[in-house]
Amino acid sequence: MALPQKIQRQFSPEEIQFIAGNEFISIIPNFTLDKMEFIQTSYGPFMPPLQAQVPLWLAVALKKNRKCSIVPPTWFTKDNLQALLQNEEDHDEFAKVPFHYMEIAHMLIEVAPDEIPDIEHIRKLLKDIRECRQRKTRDLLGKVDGTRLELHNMSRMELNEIRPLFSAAFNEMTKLQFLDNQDEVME
Amino acid sequence: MKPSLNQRYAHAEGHTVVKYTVDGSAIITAGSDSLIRVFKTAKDERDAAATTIDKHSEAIQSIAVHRTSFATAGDDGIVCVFGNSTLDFEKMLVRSISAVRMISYSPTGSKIAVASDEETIRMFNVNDISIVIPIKGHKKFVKCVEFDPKGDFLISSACDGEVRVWDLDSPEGGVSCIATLPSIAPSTDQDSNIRATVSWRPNGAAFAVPGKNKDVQLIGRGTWQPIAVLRDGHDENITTLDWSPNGNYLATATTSGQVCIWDVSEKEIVAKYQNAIEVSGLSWHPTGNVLAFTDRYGQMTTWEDVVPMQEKTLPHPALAHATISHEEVDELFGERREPNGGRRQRGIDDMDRDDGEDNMSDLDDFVIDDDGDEMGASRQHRPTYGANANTSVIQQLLSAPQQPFQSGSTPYKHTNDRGEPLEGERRYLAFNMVGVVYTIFQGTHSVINVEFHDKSQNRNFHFQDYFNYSMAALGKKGAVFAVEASESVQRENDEGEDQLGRNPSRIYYRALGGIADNAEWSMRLPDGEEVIALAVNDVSVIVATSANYIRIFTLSGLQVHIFNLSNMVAIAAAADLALLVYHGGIGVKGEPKLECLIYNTDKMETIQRSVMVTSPGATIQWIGFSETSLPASYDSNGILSVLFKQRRPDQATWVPVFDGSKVAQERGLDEHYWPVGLLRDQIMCLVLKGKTNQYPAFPRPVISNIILQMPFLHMDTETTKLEESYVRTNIMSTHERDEATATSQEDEFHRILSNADIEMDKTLLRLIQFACKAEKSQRAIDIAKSLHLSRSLDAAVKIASHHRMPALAERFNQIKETKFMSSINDDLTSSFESQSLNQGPRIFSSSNSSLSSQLAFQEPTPSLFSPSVRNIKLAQRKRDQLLSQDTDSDMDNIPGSPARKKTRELQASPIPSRTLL
Repeated sequence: MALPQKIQRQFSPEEIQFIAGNEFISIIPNFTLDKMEFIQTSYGPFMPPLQAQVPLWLAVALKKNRKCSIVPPTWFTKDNLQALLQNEEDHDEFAKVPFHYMEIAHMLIEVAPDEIPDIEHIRKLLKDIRECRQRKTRDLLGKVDGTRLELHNMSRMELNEIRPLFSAAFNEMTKLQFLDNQDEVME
Repeated sequence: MKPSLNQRYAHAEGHTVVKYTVDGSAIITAGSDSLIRVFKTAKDERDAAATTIDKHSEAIQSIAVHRTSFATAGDDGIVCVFGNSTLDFEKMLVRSISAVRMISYSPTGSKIAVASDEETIRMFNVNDISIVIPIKGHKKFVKCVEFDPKGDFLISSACDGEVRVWDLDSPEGGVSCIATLPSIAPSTDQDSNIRATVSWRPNGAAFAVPGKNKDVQLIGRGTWQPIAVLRDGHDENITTLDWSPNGNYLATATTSGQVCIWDVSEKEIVAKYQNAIEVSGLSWHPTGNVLAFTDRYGQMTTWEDVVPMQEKTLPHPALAHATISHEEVDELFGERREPNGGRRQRGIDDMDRDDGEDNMSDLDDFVIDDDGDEMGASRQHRPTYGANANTSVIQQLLSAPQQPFQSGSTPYKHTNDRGEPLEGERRYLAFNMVGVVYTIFQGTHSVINVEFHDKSQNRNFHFQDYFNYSMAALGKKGAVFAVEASESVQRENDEGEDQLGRNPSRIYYRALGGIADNAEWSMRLPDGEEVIALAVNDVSVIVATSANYIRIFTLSGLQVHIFNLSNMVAIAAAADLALLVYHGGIGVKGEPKLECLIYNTDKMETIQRSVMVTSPGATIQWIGFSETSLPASYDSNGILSVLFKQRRPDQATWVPVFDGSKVAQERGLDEHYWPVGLLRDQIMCLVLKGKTNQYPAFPRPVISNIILQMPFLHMDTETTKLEESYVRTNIMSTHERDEATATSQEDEFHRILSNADIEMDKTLLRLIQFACKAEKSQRAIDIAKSLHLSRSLDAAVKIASHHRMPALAERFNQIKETKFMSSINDDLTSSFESQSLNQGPRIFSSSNSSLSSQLAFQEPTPSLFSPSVRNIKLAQRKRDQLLSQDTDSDMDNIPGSPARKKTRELQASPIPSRTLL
């Protein structure tokens, strides 16, 4: 590929956000339209006040044109995020989060701050969750041993973050171990 | 708000007590300096020096007041009686060897009970002091006594915390103890500042006693058991307490100097004051919102505007009209006998609570006095039932006649004591599937906002409203607003023309969409007639008025009809139908009975008349029509019912299709649902969290949709779910077919309706499959009889033969023969159509389409209970494909089954493919 080395190895956050745009979300449109036909599939019909399920990218586009209001997902409430943070703090493992939680949260806060109750609180909670998970990621680095690496319940953005470092570290460890084993054989 | 206090030094430091005279003209204080001071309360005399009376030789402990006289008693053991007006010493009533702690006048003023540092209470005849009745029973020194305001009982408390109730006129003659509440109050010694005050609620239905845990126990009359506890308010032990003159509030004082005002019906503190030192005496002004208290510095404080009536819209502490409602009294005292005990009117001269006999008769001929203080969803007056003796009995029987309401409206959250909202307050007037109407109160006027869910069809608008419209209805074609008549209070509307008299009740209609010349109109109702409820549908505006009229206007404002209907509760309307709900009398158990009328406002004919049934004890919260014009009601227990077969004469029944409380329970959340609309298979509602959250707030919450589910038994099994789904679909489909027939639109909706038949047959075939698996052939036969299409019966035969039940297959064939072969219709037409409609009973027709709503046949994904959005999308897509195949094959449907049909049925029914091929 003609892309620079650095970019080849990982996605940029924008790219991941683009991928997360395919996640479905509920909107309440404020216009009536039968169905939006796309090449692969169709979305709609749009019949206010009924909710419609559309991909996030479409929701964002409609919201920017003030054509709908976005219904925040159930996990994206103050109480549920609080519970998630609590869970994250109480256990050493990663808590289960939506795979694209960071991207979705980012997009929602950016595009629909008026539809999210307690937005300031939510912002803080998201930051706390992220910091808590980052700490766990750092702990995880110490456990890289060259044979296997378990990364349960990590979100896509987090995986992307650790990919260059962890995969490099993992490869180096494997090499070292290989040498180690060879030494033993030699002896 | 800073409390408005007026403090003055009255006595030397030490225990000081206070009491208002019965007419409130003076405050009597007495203290440890053995002096009595009388302060005038009138404005011009307030700052004058107090009259001082020096008759006692030691500290004074108690003051008792009566109409013409007051008495004081103290450590010197004497009880002195003084004249009220002259303040002259009249006589020395008692001379006891021990200190007197508390004295109490009987309601008639003829007796005085004295608690001194002895185990015996003594009761003296005021006019002949030689008549003394000793009341023995307490084992420790008595601290407090009080006569029942009705004069039947005496209550007393002692140092060991024991409270006794004495019957003054016991059957055995004399005084006997009828109830002992051992150590209910904290135990103290005789000199303690904790007075263990026991005090009767002025209506005599209960008395209050300070409890052990810094709380107040309310003891019910008759049962003599605690009926309520006022807790979580005090940081220290209670020294004394006093009831407000109408019993709505209780003032308590603690050793730390805290003074708390409790709203007794809500069991919460409405006002609090922290005094510098322990408060030893409390007394309410007999008619005003004023509390006097004295503390151990010898200071006397009068606290004006004690109850923050303005901020919290609380009733007055003394005046009778603003009191608690029956329900609250019932709830509090568990008494049905005197439901209006708390709301009887008291004039000034009837104000002395000591007039026992009068009060007793007061309770019987109470006055119906509902001036619409209840801030329900509507601000209308409740229908008046007259005030003569007979109707008052009926009124008494009625547990709670339902107030008129507008579906989808909410009250103002914060109002002042006159029921007027604060500036900037907003409330919903209407909230339905078309849009939202809300009003913002601006003091001199309001601003009404109309917002639509679908902004592409209608533009949101708002306008300044100088009449403060209190009701609104929003339809597809227009919005209508109305207001009750009101006294015009310096409100210069209408170019000053209404300045003196009343503002009449008004109706204002505004068309949506284009600005035609007749786009709006308004009407004034004559004096004495007011709008109670209103609704708008596609052809007319329906208004119920207090003159027991239902007035019908066309959308252009033409008055087309008027008829009589009384005791209206609510109206809903859709297409050319109106659902009118009204009181139809009293049920067997005295519960209000509601009836409903389905009325065609275009042809002016009654389509259906039916009894409205709610779940026990519930009231109706919402009425409306579904998008397919099916009447529905939602009650306060969360049951959604629909009126099945509304257009068939005498066939209509209310069918429960959704249980909100059960759904909330299944979801494990403390929430309830506030309906907005209804689809074929889903309820559109706002989800309100928490029990106290009665109404939706601002900003506008998101509308959720929840799948309907009828309350069938054993809903956890797969078969029951299918049964429920079939029955519910059948109800909706039957209704839709009726509507299509009634509006002569069978052809238009034929495809949708036959799709519904196919859906139902799929469900039934699955049920047959389950029945065959379990070898329940009778059940399979029952199910097969309900199948709509002959080719579904073919499939049923295949299922039966697959399960090696040839006898069953034979029966299915027979059913098919009897059901379809005789009919001239081929299997394209459903059996339902052929049997029920063509030969069925007459259907009331409509000339306006009742199924034209865009949302009528939409199948949105439910916002709750969705396991995964993607799964639903996939399922939906698959179903769409199936449906399109179904309908395709309907077109070239020939009995004799082409291969294509087989593949369809293969997908439609869960039969293993090899049986089909």
